[in-house]
Amino acid sequence: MSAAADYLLAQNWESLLKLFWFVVIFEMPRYLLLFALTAFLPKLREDEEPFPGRVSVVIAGHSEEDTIEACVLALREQSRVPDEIVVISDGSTDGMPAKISKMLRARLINAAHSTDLRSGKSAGTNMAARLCTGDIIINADCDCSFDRHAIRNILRPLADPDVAAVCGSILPRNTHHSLVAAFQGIEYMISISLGKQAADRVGQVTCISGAFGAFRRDAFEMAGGLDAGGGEDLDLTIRLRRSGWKVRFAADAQCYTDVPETLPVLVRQRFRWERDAVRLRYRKHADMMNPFSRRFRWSELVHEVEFLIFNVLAAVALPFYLVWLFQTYGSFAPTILLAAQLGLLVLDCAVFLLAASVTPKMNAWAMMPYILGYSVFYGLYMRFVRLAAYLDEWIFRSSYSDSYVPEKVHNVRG
Amino acid sequence: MNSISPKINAVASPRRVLLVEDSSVTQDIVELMLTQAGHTVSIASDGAMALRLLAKDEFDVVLTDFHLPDITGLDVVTQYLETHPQGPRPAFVAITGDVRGLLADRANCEVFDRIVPKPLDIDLLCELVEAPVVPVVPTVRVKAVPGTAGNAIEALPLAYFRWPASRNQDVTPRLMGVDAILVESCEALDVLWRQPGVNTLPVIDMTGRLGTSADVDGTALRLGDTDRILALVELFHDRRAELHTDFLRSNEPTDRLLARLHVANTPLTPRLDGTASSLFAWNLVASSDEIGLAVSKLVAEGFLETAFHERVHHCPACQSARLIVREECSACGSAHLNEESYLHHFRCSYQGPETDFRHGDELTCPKCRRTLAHFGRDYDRPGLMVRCQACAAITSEPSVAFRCVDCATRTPADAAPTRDILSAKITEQGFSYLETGLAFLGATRQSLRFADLPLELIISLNKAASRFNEDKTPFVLGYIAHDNLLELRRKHGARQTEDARDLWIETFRQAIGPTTTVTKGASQDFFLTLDMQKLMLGPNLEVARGRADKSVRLDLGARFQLFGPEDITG
Repeated sequence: MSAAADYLLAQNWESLLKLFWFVVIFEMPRYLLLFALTAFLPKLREDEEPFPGRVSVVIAGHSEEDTIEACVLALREQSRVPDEIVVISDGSTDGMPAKISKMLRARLINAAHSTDLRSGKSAGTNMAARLCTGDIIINADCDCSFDRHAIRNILRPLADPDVAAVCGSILPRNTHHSLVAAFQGIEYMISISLGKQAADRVGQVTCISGAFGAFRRDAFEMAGGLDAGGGEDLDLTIRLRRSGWKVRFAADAQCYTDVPETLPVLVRQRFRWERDAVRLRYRKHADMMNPFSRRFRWSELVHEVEFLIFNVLAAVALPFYLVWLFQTYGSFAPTILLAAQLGLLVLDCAVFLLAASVTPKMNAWAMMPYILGYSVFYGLYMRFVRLAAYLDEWIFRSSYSDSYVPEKVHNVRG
Repeated sequence: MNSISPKINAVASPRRVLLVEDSSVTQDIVELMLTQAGHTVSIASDGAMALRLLAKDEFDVVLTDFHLPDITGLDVVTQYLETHPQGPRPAFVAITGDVRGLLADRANCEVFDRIVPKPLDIDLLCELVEAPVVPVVPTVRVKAVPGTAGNAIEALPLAYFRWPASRNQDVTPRLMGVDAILVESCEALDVLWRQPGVNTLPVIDMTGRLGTSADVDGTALRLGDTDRILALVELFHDRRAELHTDFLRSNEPTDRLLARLHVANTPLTPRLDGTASSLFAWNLVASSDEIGLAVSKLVAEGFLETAFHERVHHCPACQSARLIVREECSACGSAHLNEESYLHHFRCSYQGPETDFRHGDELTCPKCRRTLAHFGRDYDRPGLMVRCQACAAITSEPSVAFRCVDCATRTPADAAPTRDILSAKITEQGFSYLETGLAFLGATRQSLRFADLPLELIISLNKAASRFNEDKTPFVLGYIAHDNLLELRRKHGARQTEDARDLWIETFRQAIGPTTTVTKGASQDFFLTLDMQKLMLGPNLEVARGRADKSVRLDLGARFQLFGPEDITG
C-alpha cells in the first residue's frame, strides 16, 4: 500500500491526468461547476410580497387512500392556504374515492372527481387543471407533505411575469429507514437542493418535478398541459422552456416525500427516470441539439450537452475506463481506483457541506457517516444502473411499456 | 291584604248558581269552592225548594242532584221548562252516581246540558260553571242505512259519542257513560284527542282512513267483528277501572297518553303516514308532535321504555319530515344536473366531458384536434361526471340536500337534524304510577287538588276558610307525602307499611299539638292548622316530624307541602 502511495505521489500533473482521465473529465467539472455557480453567483432576488392571484392545488392519484388525507391536511396548514384544492382519484381500486368524497363533504377540498378506469397521472392532472379556477396551478403528489411556508415560497418567483413554472424543493422523509434511503437523502441534497440552486442561477432548471411544482395557468394551457407520460414533468418543462418561458427553483419551498427503501425498487425507479429522460431528450425533443432547427435555442443546448456528457457519456465511458485501467496497470488498478475514490470522497464531503449549508431544515450531520458509502454507491454502482437503463431504452425502447403509464396509453402515444 | 279579593274580582263572569243537593257536606264544599271563585251560590235541599227559587230568581247554572228527597232532578227541570217554555233558561247540570243509568233514558239527554259523575270532582265543577252557556239542541242520531257497516255498529247495545260533535260545546259530561267514539270525519282529531275522557275510550273509525290510529275499522267489518267490538269496549271499561281517578280526566298530555296506553292494553306503535308532517302516525288519534313530547317526558320519568323504530330527517325550520331529497350542484344549488361520460384521449392525455369532444357525430380532441376514431384504442370512458345545467360546474359527486315540502326551507343533507321514531311501552314504574295516581310523584310535583281531600277535612277547611273571610284568621293546609311508601310496600308488605304509617300519623298528631287536625288520606295524609301563618309553622313541623320518624322502624320518607288561604282560593 505504501508502495502505491509512493507511486501516486511520484506522479507529475501530466501523468496524473493520464491516470485519472475519467475523473478529470466526468467528475471534476461537475463539482467545480456546482461550487462556482453556488458560491460566486448571486442568488436571484425574489419578491417578498404575497402573491396576489388565486392559487389552486391539483392532486391526481391512483389508489392513494392512505396518503391523501395527510397531504391535504398539510396543505390546509399552510401559511398561504391554497384557494382551491382539486383531487382526482384516477381509477383507484382502494377506498380513495370514498375518502375524497368525505373530505369534500367536510370542505377540506373544493372538488373531488373519481374515474372508474385508470387514465394515468397526465390525464388526471390535466383534467384537474381544467376544472380548477386558480391563476396558479400547483401540482402535487398524494404522498407529499409540505412545510408550512411551502406554498408561500413557491409562489414568490412567479412575481416575475416571464416565469412560467417553479419547482419546489423535494427532500426525502424516510432517510433513516434504510441505507439506500440515507444515500438518497444525500443525493437529493446535492443534486436537487444544491444542484437546482446552482442551475437556477444560470436559468438551467430543466425539470419541474411532478411531486411539487407551480405553473402559471396561461402557460400551462398554452403548452396544452401534460402530455401522455412518463417523464411528463420533464417534458412539460422542456416545452415551456422552448416556448421562451423562464423556469425557476424555490429552495425554501420544501416538500417531503418517501423515497424507495430497497435497492430493487430504487433501481426500477431510476430505470424509469433515465429511460424517460433519454426518450424525451434524444427522441421527442432531439431537435434541441440541432442548430439548424427553427426552434433551436442555445440555452437548451447547454442542458442537453450537460446531460449528454455528465450522465450519458460518463456512464458509457466508465466500463471502458475500468477495462483500460486493468489492462494497463493489472493488479495495481484497484489501488488507483481506491485513490480516485478517496479523492472523490474529499470532493463529495465538500459538496455535501455546501449542500447542507444551502438546504434549510435537513439534518445534515446525521447523514455525514453515509458519505463514504454514498461516494462509492453513486460513483460506481448507480452509474452502471444508469448505463443499463440507457442501453435498455436505446435498444428495447422499454419506456414504451412501463407500468407507470396505462397500457392503452403506451399503445398510441408518440 | 291577602289575595282572595283580587282573585274574586279577577273572575271574568261571575255566575249565579243554584245548587240542588240534599247532602249538607256536598252543599258546604260546593258552596265554599264556587263562592271562593267569585260566583253567587243559592242552595236548595229538595226539588220543591229548587222550583221555588227558580221561579223567584234568575240563575245561570243549576247544579242538581239527580236523586232528591221529593222528586228527581229530571222532574225539577221538566217542571221548570213547562212553566218557562220561552226565553232564556239556565244550564242544567245533573249530578249523579249512575251516569250510565241516567243516560239510558233518552229524555235525560235532552233536558240536561251536562252530566257530572259522583264523587264530585270540584275542579271539574268549577270548569263547568265557568264554561259559556250554550242553548240546548237535542242530539240528532244519524239514521243508519240498513245493511251498512255503520248499521251493524249502531245496532250494538252501546252508547256512542260521534265525532265531529253535533253540538259546539264541551263534550266532557257527554262522555260519561259513553262506550266508544265513532269518528265520522278525520278533521280536527287533535281537538277530539284533547277532550277529557277521549283517551280512555275505544275509537271506531267510520271513515276507513284512520288505519291503526283507530281501535276498530268500522268500514270493513267482518263476521265476528261486532263481538270483537263488544269485547274491546269491555276491555276498555275493565282497564279504565284499574286507573287511579287522577287519570280519568287529567289534562296533562303525559298522563293522558299513559292512561290511553294502559286502557288500550297496547304499546305505542308508530306507522308510516304520508298525511302527517312527521310522516308517522300512532295507534291513537293524537297528533305526533303531541305524542313525541309526551313520550320523551314519560321516558325521562321512567314510566315508558322505548324501542327504536325508524329515523327520519326533518326540516330545522318547521320540524316537518316531508322533505324532497335532491341531488344538487354544490356550486349553485340547482338540481338541474346531467350525468355525462368523461372521455380520455390516450395520445395527448386530454380528459374531459364528452361535450368537449363532440362535433356533430364526430369526436374531436379539443387539445390536439385529432379525431377519436376507435374506442379502446384512441380513447375510452373512464367514468361519469355530473354537469350542472344552470352554472356549468362539473362534479363527480353532487351534494345532497333536502327541501321542506311545508316551508320550502333548503337544508344540506349533513345539516338536516334527525328524529328517532320510537315505539313505547309502559314500565313497571309506569304501572305503579297509574295505580297510585299523582301521589306517586310526591307532593312537590302536585298542585293543590281538593278531590284528594277526605270529607271531614273539607268541612274543617270550609270552616277555616269562612273564618278567614270574616276576620282574616290564617290557617295552613298541609299535605304529607310519604316518598318511600311504594318501596316499603314492596319490601315489607302492605299491612306492615300501613301500620307504620298509622303509628307515624298518631305520633305526629300528638307532637304537633291540639290546634292541628291530622287526617289520613288514601295515598297521602293531610293536616289543617288553624290560626297560624304558613311561614311560622316550619319549626314545629320539623320537631313533630322528628318525633314521628323516631316512633317507627321504617323510613316512610315523609315530606310536607303547605298551602295558605291565598293558595287555596287561587
